[in-house]
Amino acid sequence: MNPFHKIALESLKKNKTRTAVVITGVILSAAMISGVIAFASSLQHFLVEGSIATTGDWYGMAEPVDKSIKENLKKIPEVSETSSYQIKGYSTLYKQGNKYKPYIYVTAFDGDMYDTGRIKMIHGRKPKNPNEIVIPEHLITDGEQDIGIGQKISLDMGKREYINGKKKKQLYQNVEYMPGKENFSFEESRTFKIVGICERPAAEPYQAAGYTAITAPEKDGEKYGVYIKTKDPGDIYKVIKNIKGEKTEISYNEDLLTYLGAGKNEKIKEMIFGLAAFLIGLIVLGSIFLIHNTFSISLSERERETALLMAIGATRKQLRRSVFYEAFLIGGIGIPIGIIAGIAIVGGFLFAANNLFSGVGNLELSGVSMTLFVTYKTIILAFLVSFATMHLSAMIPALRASRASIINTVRRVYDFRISRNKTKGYNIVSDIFGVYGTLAIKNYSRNTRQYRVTVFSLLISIILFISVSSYTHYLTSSVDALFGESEEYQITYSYSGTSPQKGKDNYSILSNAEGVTKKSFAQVLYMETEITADKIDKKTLNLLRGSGYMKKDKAHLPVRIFAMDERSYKEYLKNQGLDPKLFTDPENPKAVALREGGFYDITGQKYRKMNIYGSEKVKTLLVRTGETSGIDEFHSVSIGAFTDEVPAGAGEFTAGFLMVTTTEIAESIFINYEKNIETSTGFFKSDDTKTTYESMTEIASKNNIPKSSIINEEEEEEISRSLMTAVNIFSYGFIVLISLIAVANVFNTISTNILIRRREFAILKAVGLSESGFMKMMNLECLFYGLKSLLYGLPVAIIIAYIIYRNVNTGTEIAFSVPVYSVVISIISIFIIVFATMIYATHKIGKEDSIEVIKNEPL
Amino acid sequence: MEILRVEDLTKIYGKGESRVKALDEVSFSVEKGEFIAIVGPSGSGKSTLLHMLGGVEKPTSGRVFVDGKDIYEQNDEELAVFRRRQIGLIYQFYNLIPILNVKENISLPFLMDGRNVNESRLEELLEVLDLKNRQNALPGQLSGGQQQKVSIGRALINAPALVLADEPTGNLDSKNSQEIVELLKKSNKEYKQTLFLITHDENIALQAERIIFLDDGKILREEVVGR
Repeated sequence: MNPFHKIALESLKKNKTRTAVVITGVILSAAMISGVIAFASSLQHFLVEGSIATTGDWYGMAEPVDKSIKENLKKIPEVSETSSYQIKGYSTLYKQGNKYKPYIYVTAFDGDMYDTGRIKMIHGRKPKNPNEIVIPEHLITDGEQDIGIGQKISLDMGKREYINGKKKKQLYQNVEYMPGKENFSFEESRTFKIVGICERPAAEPYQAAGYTAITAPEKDGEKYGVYIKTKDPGDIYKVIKNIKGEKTEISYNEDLLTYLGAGKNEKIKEMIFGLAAFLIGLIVLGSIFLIHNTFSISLSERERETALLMAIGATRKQLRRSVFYEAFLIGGIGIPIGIIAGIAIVGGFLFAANNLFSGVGNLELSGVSMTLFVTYKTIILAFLVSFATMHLSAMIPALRASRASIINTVRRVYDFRISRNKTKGYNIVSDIFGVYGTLAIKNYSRNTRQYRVTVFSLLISIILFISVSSYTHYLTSSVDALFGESEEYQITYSYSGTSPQKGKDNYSILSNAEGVTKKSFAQVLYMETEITADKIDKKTLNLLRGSGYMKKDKAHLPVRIFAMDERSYKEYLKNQGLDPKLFTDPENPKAVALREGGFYDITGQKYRKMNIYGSEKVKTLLVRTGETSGIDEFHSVSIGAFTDEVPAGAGEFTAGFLMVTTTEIAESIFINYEKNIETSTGFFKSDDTKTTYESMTEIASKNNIPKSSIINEEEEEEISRSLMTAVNIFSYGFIVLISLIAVANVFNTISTNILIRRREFAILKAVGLSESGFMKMMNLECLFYGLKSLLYGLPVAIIIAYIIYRNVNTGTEIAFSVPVYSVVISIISIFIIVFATMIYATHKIGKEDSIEVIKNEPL
Repeated sequence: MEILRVEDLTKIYGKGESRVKALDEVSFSVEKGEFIAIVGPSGSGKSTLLHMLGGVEKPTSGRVFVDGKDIYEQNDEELAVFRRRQIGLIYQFYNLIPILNVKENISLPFLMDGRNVNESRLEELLEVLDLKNRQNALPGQLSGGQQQKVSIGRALINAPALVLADEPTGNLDSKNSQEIVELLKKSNKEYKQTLFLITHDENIALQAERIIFLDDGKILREEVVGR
């Protein structure tokens, strides 16, 4: 039998409460570690799968490449998968639709490419020969081409060229359309039969100049585009660099690479992996603290036993191993339970988030839901981190125990070796609280290490609680700020095409949807105004300069014209207490201006508020409406009133200075009004949003209106708020668990500290200390604990709250506020914990006979 | 045969104002099988001397030779093994491990070595110590005298070179005290154990062969006592 193992085991059995507390702490710790790891693993998996569903399963692409390069790709040892397409060329559209996308990009896919590009067929079939073609849906909806299955189309094929002096460069899909800077060079006409319609290819870049159409490959192609996956995602950069020619354009699936940990987007990497590492570090620190403290207490209770063992021949190594064995026993129970619990909790949380928080929306990315994803590697990692935590926790107490001086411990010198300054009383304490206060403060000061541990544990809880409360408060505030008050309208339709009239027509069609109770239409133009520097305060001027708004001595600031339908505008005016007649007189048109606007501060990465109207005596705003023959045109817009309230649908806080008028008046004021319209938006109110939305999408599909242009705003907001709720639950759940570890720590330290002083208390009682006097002394000790931890903890917590406020990029300007309610909860909780522990411990020793205690415990 | 030789043993604790010279160049030697009592007032350095002989506390200067070997040339691990095998230590209080029973407490030096105890020796000791019927009892179930007997058993199980007892009877009544002293004398006579015993009791001291008087860390005098 190994006596050290037996001693360790019996010690655990003897002190059931403390053993239970530390095992609970280990379970909590292992649960949190495995929970964070499981959540990070699930999140990463979700982002990877979602990214693949959105943009395709590839790491890097290059076009054009020669056939020889395409064929040699699989020979490169780092490459795991490739797929390719033949580049046929661009073709101009029949009629102009989206002014930023004037081409069809004709490609020929091999079998693998359909999978890599995540091509989803909607109607018809894939092409079987080079005379057949599949067109993407958005060519019809966004490109406004009236073509369909069965139709034969004749395409004028050629290439896009960028000409810079004598240099010519062929352009491909990674380069957006550059009107005025690129040419189309015709090569040949080809006729195709449309045999299918597919969804927008996932791999088509958003800025691509052409709608990707797919035909069947010919035997030999001239130029190819290749999509590559490497065995190690990080190798893609090297592989692409090696195959890149002078004329090759390359791009990377950066999002996917980032989620796999190989991308160059440091911010997202930091966010996911950094946050997980930070949280685990915090948990490990708190856990080490608790477990280390428990071992310290356990060993200090056994220090005479330890000294005796060393005196009769135990080596230091044997003693250290005994401590690690104790840690092993505790960990052997706590760690597996904790890991299972942590994974189960995260699984439950994700299940709830997917099914319960939001009635309609899930945590989804392109149809991929976030579910629990745990591999054997995840479990091993959680186990290793938990085990290392246990080991580190036991290390210091083990070293300390094995280094103790035998002779001093045997003589129990330590108890008496108290330096004078540590027993300094404080006169003020003695004056206020008498002898009980003196005893309390001296006891409080004497055992520095243990008291430091207690105060530090309480401190950690206070800081964590207040810091995380602040963080979630600012996050929630930013959501509120961005969303504003509840929108009056639940569904919106947006059109950004080149034909605003079409937007209006579509709005009329959609208005017939079931359940529409109210509707409104608005067109938005972005103009510009100039404010001279002398009218702007210095601080704002510097910010504007730093964000690129200044040109010479004038600030060029965006002005957003929100042009509504007349009925809605009149209603808006009435709500402001304004007479509609004054604002809708065509002879003297006036606009309503929002008193405060804002601009985007690039350095601070947030929106800043700004008033450009000074004392509001300004009655006109000079707005740049366009240019004719290179000369800027300005119009002085007459302002009829200032307001703080934006019309429903105009958005709460964006960059720019908002002016509200009617479409008719805007048309009369601005040159080339239709050409300057950025978006046309329809707003719909409904009592049954779900039914109306379904009805509207049905109408849309029958009328070639893209479904993506109709948004269920109620659902979007609900999803965001649900996510915020989920974040809050997660954050507070995390704090509660960490705090439980801290509470366990405090319980251990205070209760043991009281229990080992039982002989002292027995002697005090024997010489005349009454029960009430004893309680007074203990209460004062608890008061000092609580006060000290609050004295340090609150200022530190508020400083951290301020640092969080300065660093959290909420995107909006929110005032700093001291989290008063969290401070109050902290104060109350601290004293509850401390006093409850004291009551438990004193109740335990209260049952003992003082004389027996004095007799049995030798000094 | 010389079993122990101490040369200029000095121990200083603390620094500055709190500097204390617990032992001041103490030198003496001991033959195998001698029974030595160490007496002196409180703070004279008796326990310090005892612990230095046992390899428990390192001297500031000076040497301790046990069986011809300077024990402090060993490192900590070697010293621990030395204590386990060559020294038997008995204290006044708290001698036993509370959660091990009588047999286990006695066998502790063997168990630490990872060896099985010599069963016949164990049985013999239990018989001599009159603990045969209590061999499975825990220390908490024993009287003070019985506890000290167990600690004697533990000290003797390995037949060590030295048995060091620091006021072993200090916590016992006179009857138990005498019983313990008789057992120690028996081990000294029958097993030829070299025995060092610190005591305040003059009667007990007079039962030794030699008395060393310590005061202020120095040997005042030595007396040879007739048996």
